[in-house]
Amino acid sequence: MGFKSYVFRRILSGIPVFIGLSMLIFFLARVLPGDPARLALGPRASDEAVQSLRDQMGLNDPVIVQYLNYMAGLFQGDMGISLTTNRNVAADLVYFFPATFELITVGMTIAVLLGVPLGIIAGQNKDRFEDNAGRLFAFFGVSMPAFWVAILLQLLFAFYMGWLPATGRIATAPPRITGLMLVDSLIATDFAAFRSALAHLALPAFTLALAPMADIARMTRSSFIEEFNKDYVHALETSGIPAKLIAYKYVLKSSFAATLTIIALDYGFLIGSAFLIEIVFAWPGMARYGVTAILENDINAIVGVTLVVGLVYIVANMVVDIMYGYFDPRVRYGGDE
Amino acid sequence: MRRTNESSGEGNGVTRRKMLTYAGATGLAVTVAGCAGEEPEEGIDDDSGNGTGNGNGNGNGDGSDDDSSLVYATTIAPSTIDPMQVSDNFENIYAVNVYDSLMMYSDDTPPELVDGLVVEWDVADDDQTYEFTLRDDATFHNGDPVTADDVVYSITRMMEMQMGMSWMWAGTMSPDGVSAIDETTVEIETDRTFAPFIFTLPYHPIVNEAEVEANDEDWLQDNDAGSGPYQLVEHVRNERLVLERNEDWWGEWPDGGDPFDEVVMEIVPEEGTISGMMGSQEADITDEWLSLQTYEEIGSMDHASVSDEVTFSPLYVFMHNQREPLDDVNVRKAISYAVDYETIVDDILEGNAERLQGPLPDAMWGHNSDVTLYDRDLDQAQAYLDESPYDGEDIELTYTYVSGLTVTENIGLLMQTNLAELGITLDLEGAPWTRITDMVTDPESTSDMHAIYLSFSYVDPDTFLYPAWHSDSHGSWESASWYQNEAVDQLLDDARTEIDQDARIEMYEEVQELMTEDAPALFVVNEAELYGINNRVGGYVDNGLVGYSKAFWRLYNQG
Repeated sequence: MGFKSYVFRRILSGIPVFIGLSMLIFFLARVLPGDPARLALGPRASDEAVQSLRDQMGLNDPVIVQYLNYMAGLFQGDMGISLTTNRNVAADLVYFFPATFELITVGMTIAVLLGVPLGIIAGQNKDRFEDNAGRLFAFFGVSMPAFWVAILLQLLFAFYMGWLPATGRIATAPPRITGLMLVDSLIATDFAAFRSALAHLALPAFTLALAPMADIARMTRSSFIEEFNKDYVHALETSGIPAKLIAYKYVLKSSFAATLTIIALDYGFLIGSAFLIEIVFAWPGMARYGVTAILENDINAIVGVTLVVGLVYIVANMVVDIMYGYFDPRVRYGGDE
Repeated sequence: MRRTNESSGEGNGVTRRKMLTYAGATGLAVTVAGCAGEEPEEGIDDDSGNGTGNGNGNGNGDGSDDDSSLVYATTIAPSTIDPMQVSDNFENIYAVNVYDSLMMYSDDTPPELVDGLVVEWDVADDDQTYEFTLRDDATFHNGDPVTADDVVYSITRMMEMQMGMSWMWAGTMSPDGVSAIDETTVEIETDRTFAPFIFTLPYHPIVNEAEVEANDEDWLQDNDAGSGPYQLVEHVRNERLVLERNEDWWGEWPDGGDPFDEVVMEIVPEEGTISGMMGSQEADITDEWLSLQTYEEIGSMDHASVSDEVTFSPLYVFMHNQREPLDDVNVRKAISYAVDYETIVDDILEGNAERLQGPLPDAMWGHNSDVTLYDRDLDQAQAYLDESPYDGEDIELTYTYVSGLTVTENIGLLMQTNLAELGITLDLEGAPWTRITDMVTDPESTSDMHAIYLSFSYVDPDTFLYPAWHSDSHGSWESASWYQNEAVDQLLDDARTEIDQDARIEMYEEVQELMTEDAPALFVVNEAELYGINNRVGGYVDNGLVGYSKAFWRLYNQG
């Protein structure tokens, strides 16, 4: 099977997964306790008002009808009205998702830029001080709760040192184009806004980066060590090629596939961590919107946010599979047997 | 929308705590925040331009004068800022600062009705026709004059939308009854005689008809069409609202210092962060939803204090007046005498509360200070129990509270011990707020005892007494006692249709007398609402009113 048709089939196979996910999320959201219409209208609302909102929301229809209506709407970009913001959930997600996307993308970039070199240094110095220190760091990075690190970093850098802002995304926002502050401020050539966006990103993105950074460092280290023991490396060494060049040019390239996998998987995982980070740093993103939705039993918003999170996971997994198929053609044929 | 002021007391308490449970380490954070809190204070003194400008959400780092900017940090994000949809405290804070109403409230306790857009009003002999004369110098933020047509439009819009605070006028006011006589005169004919009507008007924001009509439905979510002391300059959803002072406002700015040219309502969901911001003086005022621990932390800062005004947050424990054994007044009185209120005030609430004498908080006009104040007296309790056909051992009761609200849970635990001394068994049951509002719709499912905070909407005893104790209100979360007393019903009805305030006071005093004799509930405490506040903010008074407790136009910078 060619690579193209492999990719195509892989993407197609994501569709039933997405449909399954949507059903699961939809039905789970419907069995949450509490009447969403009553919650939306408040305890002072009359029974008639609650009934009429229930009708309007279709909550009196059989669940399967509700689901089919929802899916039909979904394809037209209609995700239902949020009970807390009174807007279409799709509009809310378009508004809030860029903030989360920017946060996790910058977080992942930090994780890669720091995690890969850390892994290589550890791999090059196996069982020596650098390696042990790296392992200790990785251990902490993975096991420390992100929100706790977040609070500590905030105390130190924002409140104690006063170097970085503690909350928010930017001081004065540039005109909204993509919703990504870094990009929008560059488009507007507003460098003060760009600096402000970077400063606001620093703490939350770094906090988010810790866990994947540790993952990436561990993975890079082990695949690096494995690769380093291969014969061609010895050959290169004996040819007098400098160790640094061997490490970064030859070994890293061929050992990077495994690391890529981790990066893609962690990317999906980051959205999950963002739920807590966005609360601590008052980051106005989708994850925070989702937390509010859950606490307020805002069912359409819950379904919307969960679908997007699920979709990010599905896409991340898909990308990993495709990458595997690219790096290791045996995977492509495995499916046919 | 989702939270009316009432439910926010319960709902948000729960949700916030849930969130904290998830976050777990907030306690630690708060502690550490406190340690860090004192340092930056000096840092800012040394280096004021830099420190705040940089870390502050509102500071642009462009050298804008921070002293004239007030930051209100809150854990709650508004659902909506359309003035006809606003319902909870935060949303009303926005609305009262940006929009004028016909009438307003002063910041006294109890708050007094003062003229807003109105210079004169009059009610006709039918007690249903009100005539309002508008001031002629009020202009909207875009420069248009405020006219009678705008008032008619605003009332119509609110009645048609049926959202936000519109329940206040359900059955009282309809669009047909409102008309503009001339440019500055509005006539409102109410559908029935409703004495508290005039007290509800401070919650009716007036919008600019031309501006609202010229834009789409969502326009008011990011823009304002008001004439109030502040105008909206920036709304970043879930992040902040930035208000700028309207120098053309017709009202009075405070004496004693400069008013704040800018007010930033910063939305910060994590209370550890709010504590940190108060410590580094990035925030000036907090909301009322933080934990006691955080307020203690803020109170210990040199540059800040905690406002702990006791106003209008009564906590009742309803008793089921229609089910045995609580249908016996002697049992209810026995329980009323058995509870240790002193421990509730001093230990459970750490002093941030006052005993509640009867159903009405004493900050409200019409409070009767002669009614029986049940204090712990076990002999009395036993005597009343002996009057009833029951033995303590025969009685087993269920007490429900909103799960997650530690105060009401602790009160339950204490009552368990107190009642055990009479031989009464009390089972505690925590339930989510939504379940509690469901349970109380039916006398069958209503539990024997229910702990609930009552809320406050307009400055009139009716707001507490009618929804809770009139038998027409049965089935709502505010009337879980299923209390029935024809004399009380009659008095509450009469007081609604009597316009003369002195006559009404007499009626309400009698209601309170009858009620304390019936002891349909435990009138436990009136709790203080706590707010952290920076010492530089002058003019702050918590009058306990939704929205009006944060009248930014009455605040000034006192350095």
